[in-house]
Amino acid sequence: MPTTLQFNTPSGAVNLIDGTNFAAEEWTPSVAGWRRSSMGGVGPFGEIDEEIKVLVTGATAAAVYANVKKINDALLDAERCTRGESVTAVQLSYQPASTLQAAHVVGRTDRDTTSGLGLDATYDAAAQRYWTRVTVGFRRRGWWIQSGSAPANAGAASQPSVFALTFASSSDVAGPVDLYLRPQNTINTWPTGVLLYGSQAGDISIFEAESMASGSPLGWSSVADGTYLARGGSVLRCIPSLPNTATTCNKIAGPSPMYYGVGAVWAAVRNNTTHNATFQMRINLVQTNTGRIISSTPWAVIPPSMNTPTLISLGMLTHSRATAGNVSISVTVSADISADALDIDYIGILQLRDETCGAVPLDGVLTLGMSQSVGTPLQAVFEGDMRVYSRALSYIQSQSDLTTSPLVAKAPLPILAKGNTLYVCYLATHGTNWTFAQDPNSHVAVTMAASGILYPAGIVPK
Amino acid sequence: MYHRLSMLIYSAPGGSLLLDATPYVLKCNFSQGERGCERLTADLSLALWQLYWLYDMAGVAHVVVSDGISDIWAGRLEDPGISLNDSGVGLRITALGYWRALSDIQYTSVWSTTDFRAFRPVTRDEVATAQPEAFTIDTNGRINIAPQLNASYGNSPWTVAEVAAIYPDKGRGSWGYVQFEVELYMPAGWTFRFGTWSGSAPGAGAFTEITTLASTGGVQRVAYVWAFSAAPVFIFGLYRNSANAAHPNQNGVNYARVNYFRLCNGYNRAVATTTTTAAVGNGTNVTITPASMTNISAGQRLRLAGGGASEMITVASVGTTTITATRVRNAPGGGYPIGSTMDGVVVDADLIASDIVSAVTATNSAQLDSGTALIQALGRDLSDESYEDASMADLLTSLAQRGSSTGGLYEVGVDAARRLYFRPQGSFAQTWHVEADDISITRSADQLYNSAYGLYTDASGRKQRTAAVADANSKTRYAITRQAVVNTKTTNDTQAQAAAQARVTDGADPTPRGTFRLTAVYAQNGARMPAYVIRPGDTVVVIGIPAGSAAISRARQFVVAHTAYDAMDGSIDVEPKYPAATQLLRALPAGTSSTISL
Repeated sequence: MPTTLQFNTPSGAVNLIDGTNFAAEEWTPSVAGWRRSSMGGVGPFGEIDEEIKVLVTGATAAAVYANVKKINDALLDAERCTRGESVTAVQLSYQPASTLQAAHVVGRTDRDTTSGLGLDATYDAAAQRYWTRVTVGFRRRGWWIQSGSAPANAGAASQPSVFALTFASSSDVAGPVDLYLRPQNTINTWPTGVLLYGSQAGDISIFEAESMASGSPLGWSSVADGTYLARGGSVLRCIPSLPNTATTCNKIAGPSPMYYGVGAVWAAVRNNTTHNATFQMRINLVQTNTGRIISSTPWAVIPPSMNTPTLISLGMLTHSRATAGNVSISVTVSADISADALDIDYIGILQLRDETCGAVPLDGVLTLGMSQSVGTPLQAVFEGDMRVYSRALSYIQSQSDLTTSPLVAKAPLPILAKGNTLYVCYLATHGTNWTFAQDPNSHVAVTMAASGILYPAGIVPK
Repeated sequence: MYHRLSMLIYSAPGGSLLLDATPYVLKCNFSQGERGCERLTADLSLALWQLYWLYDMAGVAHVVVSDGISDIWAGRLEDPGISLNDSGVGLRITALGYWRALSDIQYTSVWSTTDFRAFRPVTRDEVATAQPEAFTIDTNGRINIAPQLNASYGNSPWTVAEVAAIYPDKGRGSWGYVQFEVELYMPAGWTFRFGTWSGSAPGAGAFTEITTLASTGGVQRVAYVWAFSAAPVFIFGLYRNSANAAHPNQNGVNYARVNYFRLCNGYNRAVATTTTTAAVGNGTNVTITPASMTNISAGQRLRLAGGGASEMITVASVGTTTITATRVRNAPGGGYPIGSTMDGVVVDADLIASDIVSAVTATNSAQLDSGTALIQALGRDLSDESYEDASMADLLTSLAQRGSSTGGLYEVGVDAARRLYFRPQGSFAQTWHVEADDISITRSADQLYNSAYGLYTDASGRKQRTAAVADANSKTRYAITRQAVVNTKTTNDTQAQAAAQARVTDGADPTPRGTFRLTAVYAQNGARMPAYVIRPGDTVVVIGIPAGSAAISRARQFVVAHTAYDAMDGSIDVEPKYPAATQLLRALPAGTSSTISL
């Protein structure tokens, strides 16, 4: 007998084992499968149909039907919430042993056009009670989600930096996370960028491009650009000596290790043009010992209009098998006109290992109207508690008055973590700056802190 | 798979987010074709108020499918519809890729014309000094203006002959560049000139005389290459600037004759170089070494000027550092000296494609990205490009089919970032190894064309046919010659032949018809990839089909023409365009193709 089995609804709990109004008689939780759809937004596991046989009782027939209505209302609210109406989510809360967990109820079972309730009312004359045996059919999301762990914090660091969040509890499978990114300085715009996350060390790698200059052929150099907040103070500059002729810089070790086959690549670049050159650029994954190219990203075009630091997505690098630490990366560049310069500040690589590694582009620069005073800066919030919401949320919030502005996440949320760690990094250029600045037109770097809450999850109840 | 997609609906590209539809998607399929993103259909389970809000929304919403690394598909929401689906009431949306933006408005512009029929005489109603009846004027393969015996010519009153070319009404741009050769044989006292009117017709607005050539009494031959201030009316004229007198010579003895004419708008690039190595004398198939080969291509007409002489020459062929001119006939004594000018106007397809981007964004600013970085030149000079009320989609498709100077194929489309691309086919393509579980394919000779000739009209309006070009390997393999006719708008034989070559390059191997349903996609080094990474133009190698005969190899490895991705089960259907084996086949001598295996 479980400790808890109830629907948590907008109008209160419907306790299916209270012994007074409800007595669940028969139910075995189903175990969700891996979701085959490639559309995201609702977690990695499929929805699953459940059937609970419940004995509904009451002193009068009306009381019985009122109790039945509570279940019916729960299913209605669940469906409304799932369709996007402004209704709080309905959870099936379940505690078979020591752990309370909940699943998001989607609504009726698939293709069910009835209420989801099979009704058969009877009057028990001997007991002088009315009762009905109801079969509650409903669909829930595959996750069982526990309450969030205590917030994990990572100290302030200049951007972009990889923050490590270590949670007090651990998740068996990919569990949703609330994440807060908190600039420590005054800002009035949040620059477009890409949030990277992974749940293993090494999922996210940031490389200082200028370190590739040493040993590179003619045309490659390291150039100081601290004025514009270059990461590490310098950028890698490539001035091709011949038009339409590719040149490749020296390799540097990483990503370390390229262990699961596929990694997505971003780079902060600037077309430092004086002659209107258009550059093409690709990143190569090469064998460290032989220099042989294992794979390259597709060519990215960097037009003259990209004349301020810009974060670009270069696509994916691939590797056929787990190989610890014997791969490096290099950069190949060509231009239609020689003598112009392409500057590269840093290269970010995200291992696409499983669903706990992801990239979330944050779309659009949001002008927030006024500067926030130092000490009460803005924060980016990613809410992932999928027990409560039909979908994960993202927004910018003032820490002083908690007002919010939209933050468009151009990739499926929630952020997911497995085990007890999460690594996050926000890649962004800002106006004329290579990195996140207080203002796109001034050159004061932002330091940022991160914190998060993990909601441990499983597909088998604990 | 670790890749999950999101589907977002914005008010417009760069606009506000209306709906993150990701959690509400019941069905989602999207396709890509040779023109980029093609069609997306999706069923969304939404609240009623959201249904009607989206259904009734003003404007054309922007739909994006993204995996967080890049936009996989983007288009505009053209057809929202409320319908009953399996889960009750839902919204069915159909979005179409931004290639559609090229069908929203029409395009009118003359980039370059060599057609003498563009000119007609200027009448006295238009310009008071004009008196076309006093001259014999014809535009048959030239512009010929000749005074008549005993007719009175002079400046009291003025008796001027003028012919005008008028830029299309409300077209983009105006005339801005002219090149031609004039042969003037008039008694002393006559003047040949060319100029412009700033209004929309001769006599309207201000007249600008660009330059004049005074007669000497002998035969004069002078070539001009001239950029001038933009104007909608361009004229050639002939007049006598002295007291009126009867013309003493028989009809046809004296004339002003314009040949090798080309009139362009102002948005072009140029050949601007000089001769090196040696003087250039008269002759046929004359080799000339320019200081720079930039923008020079076969079929082009250029001015050669030096040593007090000038003429228009035709580039027959282009080497690495030299060109061959079909004929040089006006060289001064000792030939054109080293350092003689070689110049001419050049119109390439990239200029036209870039202007189309400007035209679209000027009217529908959000429908295309204004960037032109993915637009590449054909490396050819297009001599006859006149468009009136043309579909931009058709126009760009036609330009891509012209092929490069070597007959290489081009591809044109709009990608998920709403950028127009115009580039050599396959230049951004990748190769994938795939597993397929449902293969349906047939080989058909219907689209086989291993020979072609071009059809064009010369400057005089006569229909001309180029020599046929053919693919010898294809003729050997299929033991049949199937010939295509390629209609072109050019007046230039070389350019028409290049278009025919492009047709043969495209059709030398029959396109397999069919569909492959792919269940797994791998990078060339074996890494598993999401199926949606496959794009039209990519090459796929089907792992399950063994390497064998050439015919089998064509089904095993092919270039993708079309993809349709089902986001609900992660499968993708691909249709082949042509077998990649073609490229190997061409590298072999005729008669050896049947032994190829991949």
